[in-house]
Amino acid sequence: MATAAPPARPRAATRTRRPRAVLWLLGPFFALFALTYIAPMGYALVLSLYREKFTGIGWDGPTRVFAGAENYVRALTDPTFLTGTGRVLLYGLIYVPLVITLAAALALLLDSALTAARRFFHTVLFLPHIVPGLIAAIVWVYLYTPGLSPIIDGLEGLGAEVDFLGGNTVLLSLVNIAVWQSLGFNVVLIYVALRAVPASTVEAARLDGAGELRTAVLVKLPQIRAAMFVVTLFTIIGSLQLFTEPQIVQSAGNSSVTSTWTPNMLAYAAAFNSNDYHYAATVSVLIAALAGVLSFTVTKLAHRRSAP
Amino acid sequence: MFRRRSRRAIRIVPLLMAALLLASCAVPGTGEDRPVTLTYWSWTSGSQELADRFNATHDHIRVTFEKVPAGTAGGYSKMFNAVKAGKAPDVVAVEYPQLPGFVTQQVLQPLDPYGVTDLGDQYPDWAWRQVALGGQVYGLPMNIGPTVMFYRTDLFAEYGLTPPTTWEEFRTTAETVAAEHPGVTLTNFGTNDAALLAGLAWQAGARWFDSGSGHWQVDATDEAGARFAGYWESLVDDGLVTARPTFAEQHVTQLQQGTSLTVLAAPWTAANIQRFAPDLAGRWGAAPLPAWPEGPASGNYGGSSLAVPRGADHPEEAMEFIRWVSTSPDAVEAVAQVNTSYPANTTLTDHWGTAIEAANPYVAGMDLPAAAGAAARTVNPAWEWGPDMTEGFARLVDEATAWIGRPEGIRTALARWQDATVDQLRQRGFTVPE
Repeated sequence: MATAAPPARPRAATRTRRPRAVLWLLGPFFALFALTYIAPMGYALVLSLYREKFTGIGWDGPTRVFAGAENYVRALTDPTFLTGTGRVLLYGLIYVPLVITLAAALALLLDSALTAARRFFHTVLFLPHIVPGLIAAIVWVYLYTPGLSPIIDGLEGLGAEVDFLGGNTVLLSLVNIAVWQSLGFNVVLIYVALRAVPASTVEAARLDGAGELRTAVLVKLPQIRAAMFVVTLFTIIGSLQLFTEPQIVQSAGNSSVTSTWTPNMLAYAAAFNSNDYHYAATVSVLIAALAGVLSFTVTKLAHRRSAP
Repeated sequence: MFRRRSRRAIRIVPLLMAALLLASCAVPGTGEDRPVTLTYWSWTSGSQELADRFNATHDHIRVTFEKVPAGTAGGYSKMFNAVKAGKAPDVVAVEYPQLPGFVTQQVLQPLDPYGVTDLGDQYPDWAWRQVALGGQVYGLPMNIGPTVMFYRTDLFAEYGLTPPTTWEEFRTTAETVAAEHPGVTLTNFGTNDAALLAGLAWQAGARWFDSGSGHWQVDATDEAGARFAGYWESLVDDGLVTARPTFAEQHVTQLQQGTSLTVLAAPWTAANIQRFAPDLAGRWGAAPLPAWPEGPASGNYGGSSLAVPRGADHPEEAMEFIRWVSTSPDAVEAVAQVNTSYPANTTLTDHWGTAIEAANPYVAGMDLPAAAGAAARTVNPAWEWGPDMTEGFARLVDEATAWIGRPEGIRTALARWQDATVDQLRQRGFTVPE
């Protein structure tokens, strides 16, 4: 860019008009953004700074008092919140690398040898994504429930007893649901990026004697770094928001998932069981902050790596 | 979740304002001849039938029933938010455990100005105490759930068993069943039903909450609680009963196959059994719950009251509907076919017995009216509920699911729940002394 010749056309006329054009083009977006995103966030932030107090038994109703950082202290010393956050982080630690690696591998496979079956696999992989998360969770709960599940019956026939919903196993069971659900979508995202890789580079690699594997890993992958980054970022943020699947598993009973198992479930319980919107807001703000920090870190890392 | 909600709420604000403007411009009614329309929120079966029957017999009030999600599954949250948003319905169904929470959260208006106190002597003392909170009456009991035991009369006869009348006999019976009929158990101890746990503790003489001192006190681990918990722990540990979620797939299969012989529940549960095991009509009997050594006693498991939210525009008319639902034989008849709940009003019990037996062949022959009547007369009167029971029940289910089946599981679950509840109430802004 630096070496390109400066444009020859006169700029005086456009310069005066540009601020107004910018306003027209970006204004609606920012107005909507502020109304539907910034304002509720601000409102949540304000809510999180207050709490309710009752006198005596409380028949006369609550009074709203300024709480300062009290709600945040409460959350950060609340074992439920802390273990819940630890849980989603652990979940993310297993789920994110797993789904990204699998998705990249499958996308690269689709992009290379199996050209004939490409369309078929495309559809097959994408199908689970069409199933709403709620339905997927319900179906999987059936598959995980002893006495109902053909899988458990089959394993028992082989002499293996598995409790998909108990102890720590349930975390892996949830990872499994999430991978099943989102793999296809991520494959498609990465695959689309792969289609944009210039054929010339792939051909050059091939002429230089690189096999399919080397071409995939050393030539194609580095060129879709941006797409991989976006996919990873979405997946991380998604895993922090873990809610639907554990909520379904919880309401089915018989599992080690509690009603406050993830921070989102905790916020939900505070708001809709306890009508405690202040604490719900606090938990939401903390999760948003955590997602922000993680996104920032991932962005930093990705940029550092892609820098020459 | 939260953020999404509030975002939607903000979009709704201008719409609401527009609606308010329109409403304030509306032409005032043409006088007395136009009926007042009431919105009635509930989820219990028979609500539509109630509204229909009421409308058929009343000219000046029209009741529109709107089905909401079951209270703890979102219905209560909907009511709370509706009141906050100034869009309160006129009549809501509220279960007893949630009333103190609804009163402290200022969701309901007292019914004292509308003549509710005249009705007090038609209800059992303990039930009246559930709705009279802080010196005012916030709801009229519609139905109650005195604890009873449903048992398979055919299988009891086949196996040579008699319905146990004491918990000691219940255990001996369970041992007989387990020894002589492998794969069959006397009952299932529900792991996901906080209200039933509470009902059984209540029957044993426990008292989880106490507001008598002017501050909330929580005690789920007193002697009565320990006795009831220890009893069920030993039954679960010895494999004499199963411990599974109530009316979840496995439990329903047990019931349908006749491998779980009793259901510890309340009269309303008959309709659930009917729904899950429709083929077993005529094979169930009802009896009062087995007794502790002190003699017959019951707890309460379920049932609800009708209440008027704050901000509702027609409290007078709402009270008339509520009074009709809770005191008229007509209302009992309207729901008899679909709902087997026991009426709270003592003047209606005989009528109820005749009505459900006539309307519902599944219930006829169970001897439910006699069993329920006996149970209703012996409910321990001292029980109180805390001010955050939707959350309290969710946490109790968490603890019960995690601990039942382990050594000292139920006691541990109750002790942990008690600590969590004290903590939760304090965080929520209540004073709970040490």
